[in-house]
Amino acid sequence: MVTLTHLPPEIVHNILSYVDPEDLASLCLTCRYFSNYVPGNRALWRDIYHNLLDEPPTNDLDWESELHDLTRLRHICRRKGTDKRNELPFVYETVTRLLKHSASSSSSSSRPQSSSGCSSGVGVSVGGRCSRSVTYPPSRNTAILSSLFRKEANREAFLSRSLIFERARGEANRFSDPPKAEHQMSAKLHSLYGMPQLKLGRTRSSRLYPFAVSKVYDLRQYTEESLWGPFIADRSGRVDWEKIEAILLVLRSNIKDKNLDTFPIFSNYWNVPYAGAWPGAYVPWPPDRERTELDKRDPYDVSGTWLRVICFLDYNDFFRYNFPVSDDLPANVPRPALDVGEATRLILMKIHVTKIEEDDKRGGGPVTTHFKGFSRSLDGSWDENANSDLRGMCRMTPEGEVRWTTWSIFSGEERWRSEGIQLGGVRSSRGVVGNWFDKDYDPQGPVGPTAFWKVSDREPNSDDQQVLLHDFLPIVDGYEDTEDHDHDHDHEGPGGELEMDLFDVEDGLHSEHHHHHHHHHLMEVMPRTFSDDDDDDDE
Amino acid sequence: MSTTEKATQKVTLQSNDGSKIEVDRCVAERSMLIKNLIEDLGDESIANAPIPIPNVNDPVLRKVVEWCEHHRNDPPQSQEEENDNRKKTTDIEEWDQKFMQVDQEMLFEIILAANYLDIKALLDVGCKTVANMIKGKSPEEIRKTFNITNDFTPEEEEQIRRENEWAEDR
Repeated sequence: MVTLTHLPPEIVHNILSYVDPEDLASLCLTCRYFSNYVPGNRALWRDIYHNLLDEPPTNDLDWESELHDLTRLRHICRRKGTDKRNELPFVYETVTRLLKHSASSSSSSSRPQSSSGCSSGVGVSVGGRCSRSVTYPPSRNTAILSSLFRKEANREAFLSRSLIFERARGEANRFSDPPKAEHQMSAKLHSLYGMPQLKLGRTRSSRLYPFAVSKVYDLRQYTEESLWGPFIADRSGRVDWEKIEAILLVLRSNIKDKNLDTFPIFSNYWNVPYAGAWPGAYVPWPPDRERTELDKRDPYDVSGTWLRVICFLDYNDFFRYNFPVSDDLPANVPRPALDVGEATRLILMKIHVTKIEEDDKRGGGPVTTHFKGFSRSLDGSWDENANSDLRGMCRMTPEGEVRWTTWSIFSGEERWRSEGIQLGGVRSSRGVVGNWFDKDYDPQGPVGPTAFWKVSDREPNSDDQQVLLHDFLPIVDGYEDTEDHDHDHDHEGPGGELEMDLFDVEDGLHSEHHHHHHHHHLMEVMPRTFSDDDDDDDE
Repeated sequence: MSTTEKATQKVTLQSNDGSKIEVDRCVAERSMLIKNLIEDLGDESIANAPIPIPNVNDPVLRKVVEWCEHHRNDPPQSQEEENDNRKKTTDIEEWDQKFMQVDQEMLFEIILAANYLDIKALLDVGCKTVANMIKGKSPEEIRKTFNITNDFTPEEEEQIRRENEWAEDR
């Protein structure tokens, strides 16, 4: 009679390649045959890895130890009780590594994408994308991570340990200098999760938003040492993940409050865990996009159309908050929680590479990409600050994050600057998260949070000077077949350029999904610094 | 002969215990071994003589033919799909699950036959079925399921246990 241990080795291999690592350990304990066969069998562990996880960007992993770590991660996440909190360093290491090894768009786009592979559900597969507004490929690694952190207990144990959370719980109220490693690890895990929790704990009684606002709009956080961006205040250029976390929290609160997440181009990034937050996730569109010689040398894949969201406080609120009448607050004490409401602007950025510097010494990374382009307001609220020329640069920080700097240019003069990092690394889909501020680092502000993520690429024979219907389609994904559709063409100006201030998506973003009352309120309190004529009122 | 005529042309398979099974050519050609054999022998010869399957007995061959009949219209597996690890999951479609509800000896015989006849999809379904039988079981339960004898000395067992501590929840 044939038994399991008498099958030919290649069949045993085939069988065991479908066995979960945890079960393999039990199998090893049954008899000598398996205790000799399994441990150190690199080919077997490699096949199990590939059956369970994404094709990693490198073929040089220690498959066996990777799977041991995954197994331990699952055990920890299944554990009841709070003692697992001690495992934060291991969870941090393992989660960030699994994320980094998620499916890159190049490894999946070489294969025809079956619709079943597109787990995000909505929409039909379009030219390599699951749907037009989903710029990241399906990934097993993030599916596993998402299911682990779907459990509130795991989010509580590992994603809710930064100072913002401690403040919201009333546990701590002091900045640490340098920031505590535990705070930073938790904030980074929460940021990569990318769908920041807006409420605290099981009772969900306490909102995190006012504490995140307190972090984002505290001018004391904007210093030369922190490069005025989301960096640690020691000139190292290392990312301050608690700043990134606070920015994400503030932006997601605004996106939700203003119902922007009814649009797939928002919900696919702000309501989906780990949405493309890994290197190489970005899936270009259209697949036959046009790339110049410069584009091909650009490791950051800058050229294309990006959707940007910017928030700001009414300048009076901002000023009162940062310059109270008597300000004896010690430097290590955060300003109080603030909950006064913000304005939100949606902007479309179209940029292209202008220059690539190899071996750049300032940025620390090997390549700096310079780009130019323009911004156009996407929402109904007329805001001339949203319409500008744009320039910027993109390079690696010493610790290997992608740092973006942009300048908004009005009639040839720079006015606003932003500093951000690309969440998930080079060519991630999740986009860039950071701060905007005065280009001369005005010590009286204003400052605020911003994020932008890429939506489309240059169509063959299109041009970089204007926004074309095609650049736009991912943004109106899921809505383009409704009544808006006819109007798209009505509003196409000469040469096919869209007259964006007439484009119906604004109505879609505002009149249909926006609280009208709230909107008008925001218009009235727009900061005076945002208008050319009122520059004198800044002081 | 047209392609459709070829597909429904009858071929006869002969098991190692001498019994003959007549099937449509396209069903037999789910087996890459048979497909290549027919290509080598030519259309003529298979119309006149049964194809011997020397490594497979009658009950197992009937079972394999049953599977091939059910999957006769499956698209042939391309090289590309074979490389596509996305398709490799331990999920088994419902019909195949029912099909594989046989005693363990038959299950292993089917796997060996699929391996010999080079029917990759059937081989994978069989291997996944066995893998699922290991799922969630303790070492003792696995021994019982597969009739494995514990041949460790107590010292060995202790050492193996230590080496596999990584899989325990500590």
